[in-house]
Amino acid sequence: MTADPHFGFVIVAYAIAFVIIAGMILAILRDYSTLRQALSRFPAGQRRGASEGEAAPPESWP
Amino acid sequence: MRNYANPSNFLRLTGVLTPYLAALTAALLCLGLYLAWFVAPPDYQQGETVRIMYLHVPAAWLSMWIYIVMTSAALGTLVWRHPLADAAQKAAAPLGAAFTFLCLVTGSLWGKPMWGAWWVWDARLTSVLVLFLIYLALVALWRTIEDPGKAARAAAIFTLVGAINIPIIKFSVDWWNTLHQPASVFRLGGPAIAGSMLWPLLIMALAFTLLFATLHLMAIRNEILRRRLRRLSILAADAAGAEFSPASTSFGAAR
Repeated sequence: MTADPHFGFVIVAYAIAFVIIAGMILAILRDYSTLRQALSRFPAGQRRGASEGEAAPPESWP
Repeated sequence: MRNYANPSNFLRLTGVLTPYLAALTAALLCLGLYLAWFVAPPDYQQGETVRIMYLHVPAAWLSMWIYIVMTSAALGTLVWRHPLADAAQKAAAPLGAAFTFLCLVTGSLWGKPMWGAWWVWDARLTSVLVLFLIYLALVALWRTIEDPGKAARAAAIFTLVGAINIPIIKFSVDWWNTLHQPASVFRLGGPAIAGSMLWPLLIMALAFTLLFATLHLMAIRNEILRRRLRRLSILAADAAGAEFSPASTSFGAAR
């Protein structure tokens, strides 16, 4: 397998795929952690109140 | 289905589903990689380079599939005004951009040893590059327009217009004389690929699709939390504004 003259291209392709997929996963997990931290600054009662109006479309819609 | 239009219900569902989906994705990815590397034979012409196919083809399929998901969500935003449609569309765009980028990079790494060029302005390659630029434009659009409602409508219309590119990508290899090979899996006469290579490819494609489903659910959850945070911040700012309004402020004159 490694004797193939183009084996380096295969390795680089898989390495880049690993970096891109790991990057997506880490970015989403980091975003989630940041949002949870920011939300935790608000009292639980307010958070419940804010979640009640979420089923409606965004406020500026006609 | 209507029940999950409520973001709180959706968050609960995501909390239950995500660990199972993530475990299934990891298991399928491990199986797919094992089959792609140790079971699938090298190609009689391309040698080991054909192993790039197990990344390139699933990424290419997903790049188009994600756009179809976004187009459905755009219809959900404009026609049915589903409260989660806009969040689903917004959450999918960066994932679509990442998978399209992966498709372009792995295609380039496959093309150099096989075609002798990193890039050619071939109809298939160019239309996929246009798809990548559309994804980037959509991400930029959401970041540029501050009002979420206006951003949702603008992005939905842009997505629907951009959907014309999907059939162009699919049929580019039939409509024009391209260096890129025509379809070899989904075609009228059945797959033109040996079973020993087809099964690892299908398993990798399923693993990539599940990976997208998992990441998409997690990204929608983040979007719901971001909106909740925005609403709370506005309420807090309003409350602070009322507290320090001119009517209630003495500026210390009475002291």
